[in-house]
Amino acid sequence: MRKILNIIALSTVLLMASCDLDKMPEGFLDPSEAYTDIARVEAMERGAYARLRDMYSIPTMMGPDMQADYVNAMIGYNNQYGELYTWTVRADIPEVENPWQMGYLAIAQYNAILDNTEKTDFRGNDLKRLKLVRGHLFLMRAMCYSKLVDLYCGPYVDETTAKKAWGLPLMESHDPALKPSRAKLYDTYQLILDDLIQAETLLAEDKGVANSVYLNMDCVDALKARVYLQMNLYSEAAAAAQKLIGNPAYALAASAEEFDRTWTYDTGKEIIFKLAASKTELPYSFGSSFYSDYFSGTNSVIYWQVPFIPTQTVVNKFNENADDYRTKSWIFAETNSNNASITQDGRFINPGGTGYTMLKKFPGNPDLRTGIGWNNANTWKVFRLAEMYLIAAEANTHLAGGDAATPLNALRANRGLAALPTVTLAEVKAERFKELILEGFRLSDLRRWGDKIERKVEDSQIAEKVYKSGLNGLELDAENVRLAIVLANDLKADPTVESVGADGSVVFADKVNGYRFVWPIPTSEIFANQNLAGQQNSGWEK
Amino acid sequence: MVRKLVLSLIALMGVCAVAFAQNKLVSGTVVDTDGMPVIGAAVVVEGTTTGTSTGADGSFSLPAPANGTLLVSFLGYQPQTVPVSGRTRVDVTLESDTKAIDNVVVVGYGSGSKVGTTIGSSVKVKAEQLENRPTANIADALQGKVAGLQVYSSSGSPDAISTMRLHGVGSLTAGTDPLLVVDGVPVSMETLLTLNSNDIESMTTLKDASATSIYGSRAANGVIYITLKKGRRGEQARVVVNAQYGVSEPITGKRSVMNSEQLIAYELGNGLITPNTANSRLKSGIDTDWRKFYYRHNAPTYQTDISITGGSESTSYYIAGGYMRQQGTAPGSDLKKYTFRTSVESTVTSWLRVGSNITMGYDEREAADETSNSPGNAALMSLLNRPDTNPYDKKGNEVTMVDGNPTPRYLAEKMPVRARKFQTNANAYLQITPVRGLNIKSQVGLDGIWFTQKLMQLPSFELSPNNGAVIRAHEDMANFTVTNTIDYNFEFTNPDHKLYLLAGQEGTRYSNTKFQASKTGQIADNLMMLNSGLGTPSVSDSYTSYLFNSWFGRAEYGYAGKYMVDATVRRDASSRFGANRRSAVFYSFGAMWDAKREQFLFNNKTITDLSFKVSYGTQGNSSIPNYAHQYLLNTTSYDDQTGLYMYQYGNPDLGWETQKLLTVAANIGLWNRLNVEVEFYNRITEDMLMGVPTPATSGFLNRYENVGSMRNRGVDVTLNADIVRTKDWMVNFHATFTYGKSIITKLFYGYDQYAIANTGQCYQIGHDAGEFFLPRFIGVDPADGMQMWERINADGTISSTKDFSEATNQQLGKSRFAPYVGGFGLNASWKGITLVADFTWAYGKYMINNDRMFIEAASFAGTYNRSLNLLNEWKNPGDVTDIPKFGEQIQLDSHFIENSSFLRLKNLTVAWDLPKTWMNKTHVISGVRLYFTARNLFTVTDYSGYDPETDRNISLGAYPNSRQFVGGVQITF
Repeated sequence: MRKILNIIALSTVLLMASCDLDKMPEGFLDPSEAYTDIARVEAMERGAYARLRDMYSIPTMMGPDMQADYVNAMIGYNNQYGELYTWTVRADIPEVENPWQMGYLAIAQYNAILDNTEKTDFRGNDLKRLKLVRGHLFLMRAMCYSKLVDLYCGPYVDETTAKKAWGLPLMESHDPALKPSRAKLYDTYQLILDDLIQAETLLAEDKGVANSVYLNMDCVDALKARVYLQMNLYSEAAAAAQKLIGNPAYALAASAEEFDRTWTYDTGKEIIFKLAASKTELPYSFGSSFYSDYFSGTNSVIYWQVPFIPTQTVVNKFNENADDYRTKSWIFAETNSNNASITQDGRFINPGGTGYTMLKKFPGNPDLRTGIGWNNANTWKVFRLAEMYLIAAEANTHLAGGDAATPLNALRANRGLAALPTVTLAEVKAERFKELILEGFRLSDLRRWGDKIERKVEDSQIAEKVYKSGLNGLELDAENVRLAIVLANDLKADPTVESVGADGSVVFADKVNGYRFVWPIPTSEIFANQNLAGQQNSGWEK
Repeated sequence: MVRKLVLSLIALMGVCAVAFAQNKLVSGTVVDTDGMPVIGAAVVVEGTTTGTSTGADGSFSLPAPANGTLLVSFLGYQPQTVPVSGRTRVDVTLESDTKAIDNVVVVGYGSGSKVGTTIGSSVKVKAEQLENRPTANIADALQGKVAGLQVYSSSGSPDAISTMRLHGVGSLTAGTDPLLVVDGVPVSMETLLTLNSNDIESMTTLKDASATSIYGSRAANGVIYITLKKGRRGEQARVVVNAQYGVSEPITGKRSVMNSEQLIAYELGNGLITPNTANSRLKSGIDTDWRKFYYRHNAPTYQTDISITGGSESTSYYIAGGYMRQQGTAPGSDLKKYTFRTSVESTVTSWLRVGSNITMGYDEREAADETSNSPGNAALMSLLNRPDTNPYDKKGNEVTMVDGNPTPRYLAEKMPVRARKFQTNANAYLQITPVRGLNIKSQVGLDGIWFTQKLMQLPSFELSPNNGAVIRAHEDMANFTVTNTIDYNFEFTNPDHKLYLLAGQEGTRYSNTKFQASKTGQIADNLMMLNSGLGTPSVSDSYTSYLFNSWFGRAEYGYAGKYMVDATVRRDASSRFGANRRSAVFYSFGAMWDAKREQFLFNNKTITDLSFKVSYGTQGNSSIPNYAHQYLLNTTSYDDQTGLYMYQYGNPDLGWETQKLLTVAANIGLWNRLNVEVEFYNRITEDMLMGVPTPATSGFLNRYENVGSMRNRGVDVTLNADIVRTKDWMVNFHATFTYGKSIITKLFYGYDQYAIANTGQCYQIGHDAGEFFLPRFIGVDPADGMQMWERINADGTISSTKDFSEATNQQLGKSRFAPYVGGFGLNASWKGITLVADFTWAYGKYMINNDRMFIEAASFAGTYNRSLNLLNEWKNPGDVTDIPKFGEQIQLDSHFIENSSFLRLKNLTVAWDLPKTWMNKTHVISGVRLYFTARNLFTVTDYSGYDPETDRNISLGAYPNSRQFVGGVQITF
């Protein structure tokens, strides 16, 4: 009897140890539950927007501008945008890997939703909502592919060459097991245009409004204008841009104050589409590289911590006209001599001395401050009306009988500038140089125009104080004032380098698609996808 | 019933117990020196096969001739021969055999095995080697003691836990920590910090398949089995009080940066400053050694504990409490630790035994900034801060900013990181013995952690005045283990035969919750609550869990103590793996031959011990994220509304990583003084769990797969020599030596190498997993002062380049994992005075000294202090040096890989046990021990950075280990 009791006691304990091994983590969802109703599908769509924002929220979206001729690095710039700025890009650096990865991660999300909603039981209003979701997703996919093709593929010259040139590996449906090889450049652009057509059909009713954080029909036109310009299809580009110029939902800033509000508070009638931002969804601090957190030092001196300052050329171009809204809003020279000077590590510090000019295009939206300090948070404005004016103007300079003056002068008028009597491509370039500074267009523009990138010592704001020490990469002044114009002597042998001056100046020329003007396909991608073997962009094969 | 079964078994084996007619029945009990019955002792009539074993009360009875002699033996005790001398009652007291006890190993599970415990390869480190260590981290005492086990203290932080690796790295990306088991319950590595080293009876490292396969699921990296002290039944109460006090200082190596004079001359020489500036700086006469300024050089360590142990006839107890305070040497670093322990075991009835062990630890800790590259890191800023900067202002107050950054001391004060941890390791068991030899045991164990941390930026921080920040983090963890076993010790009439069977089941349920909230905008140092901040707090919350379900069995057979074999099988299932490959079966076989017990060696005075062991078996590794096999969506938000995104690409075929381990060992003892054990092992890891990179086009950047193989091969040697052993003198020398090499034999996608971008690491077939993969630095061109690197051209030829981007990354034949490691030590005593010295060493260990990248880089010149190496800078054509001309950008290449092999005197203790005769006079105190310990007294190394012991591939601002001096007293009542 006693032993029987023992055994009963024991089996009770034994029971405690049995367990079910199917564990679903808390805080995650099984993908099969993502399409059960339209609300879930719309949650997936918001995830898709978040992925789109991720792609634009990495510093390398500004990378192409850092490669070009807008800014000089200060010592202590801490290698921000380092390899891009110094033209020592490699295929395995994060700046090259990140946009690729974020772009394709986003595309996979779009494909998964598009696949799972292709056939559906939704009816009535749910179906209407679904159509909008699908339209937005086609547009997002086109946005991602068009950004990636711009960064990682050579320029689209014409159909014949594009049918021979490398494009992107294309994913049109979600299949993680698939390892696609690169399509031709022509097919890549065709997919983008197809997606735009799909979006256009599905979003016909989806009218836009200024400041939208959601995509709509107007964004389809904006992307079209941009892509057609990339493809040198001028009349199509002009037509698409014109649709937005003529759209009453949007208008260029009417005053310097309105313009300033657009860039400080991220709101204005110029904005066609911007990425959602709030205190809980803080955007990337793009501005911290140019007009950064200052802090008050021990003796109430203001320190500015600025990794990059604009070149003297940039400063001069903006200073040509003090009434230019952009000069007023974006160009900032610390005038309080108590505050502004510059030290070795890129900080402006007391005492006295000339103030150096900073770029204040992304000054930090006060509405997005979470504490007392600045966080330099401005949302990324993906489509702006000003770009449409510039596209229309540029396209028209190429078109027989095209009127480039009207759109360009309209833009100038709304920037506080007088009209120009004649507008050629040169004037459009000059305006575009100023208007789209630090929005990631510059390298692509220079490539399209076949222009050079000039990095010159005398182009530096502090050049006159520069003390030549024969350093590679660093220029030091006599005492504390220093500036890093990182100039690699080793670039002399590079085919894209036209000249290297004795003072370290360098001119990069896009001598028929100099390979450094196109980024390499990331090493990690080629490693993980054996079908990309041998498909690296030429010049980057090493 | 069982008895019948046994009898029939014996009959089958043809072994008969023949009783002699003239024999009388002799009975008695066998007890140990504490008067406790010895259960299962063998009692044999000499020269016959007549024998029996003692029962639960230690009693026996057997027929024996009146003039015969009884041989009484039991593992762990010295065998005795007792003449019967016509008696019918013979009581025997067995004395414990210290040497034999060392060989008894808890293999795990069941009531404790009687036969095969000597087959498995294991190394036991006993209480006296663990006691009174001035460090909270108990693994420290294992360093250099266990052949094959690498133990490193990577940080001098008082709350740091050593890293441990058995036989090198057996897995590329799955975990390499050994399984830690405390009194039969698997626990987290954190437990190493929670336990008080004075409560530990022994720490046993189980190394081969025979010993570890029973733990199948997580035994791939070996098992560290900790046995805690317990009371003994019938023992008089004993009180031990211990107190120690000591100081710590950082082990910093030689000063590697310039003094003021050197720095100013260097800056002037390179045109960074004008002669006027140089003169004025020199005139100030300031020459600060920031290392001395930032670090504490007499940080106190204080430790006290008390334990009470004893037992009645049926119940034993052990009750202890301890307190330890150790201030770290780096600013802000501190640890206060409280430990409590209760252990009660009781034999309730002859068939029921119960027991419970509860350990609780509570600590309060403050962490120094060990983040590699930040102004708060004292190790780095000690190098970078300028010697010509005065640490004190004109009023004599310590400055808060140096060279444009807040000082580590100021940051430690204004950005404190404080944490509290409460951990409990508790278990309770019930053991039923329905019939003699059969034990049914059920044990429930809990490893629980409650941890809370508060990170602050005080509003008085002058760089962000009146704007505080608080992050509060909370974590709780509970790991339940339920183990049920049944084991049976067969009794044979012929005691030469031993057979032991065990079967069991184990379930593990782990859960972990983390919660964190932060807020900023606090306005005063006393208002540092979350709710004192502004706006919406930022919060995060996570929950994770896993389950294991296992069945296992073990059989051990021994014959005459000479030949032993065992076999283990274990089936494990884990929630961590895909439904298709969730469970796996692991097994092992072991055999041992104790040649010393053979006739031909029995009386050999030279060879006093000789045995051979071989074992082969498999084990599993499941140390990967809990849900790696599942396809999952996670939440995000857009426009402040919830969104969903694809988070992880599942793999339903994800299964166990397995290892096959073959071990062959030989042990020889000579003249009873010298003992040498040599053990060869060959371990093959297959189906390695790795996060394999997937193309971004798939929508995911990697997923866990079972790919690749690697092989570990090596030899462990343990040597123990009693050089002098007389009544008053004892001198013992002991040493361990391990050579081990691991080689990757297979990767994935058919690649023979996998370079992990921006890490200087590359997995390559035929190479060690820790080998450095960087461009090879050739030197500086004497002609122009430019650096040169090797470039391997497409055709395989080697040329040199001055363009770093053209230099070729290559395997450099140097690994962060030392192939040779070991330790040696001396125990010497004369009467009551004992000297213990323990050395530990590693040879062939390499590490990137990343600190040098900071102090040798030209771009920091003029702002920060520079390395003394820069005094050898190239200046004129023809200069032969390794330091390029001023301004050249240095690169992470082979010349920053330094040999971090080291020899360290880990522990030096002198102790004096006051003579017993003095104690007897007190009638109260039974023992007093006075001791003095120096930890990490000296280090021999070529490494130029802070601490060669750091177990990383790259060392940047590493918190150096401490040199400690403590004195203490231990009183036993």
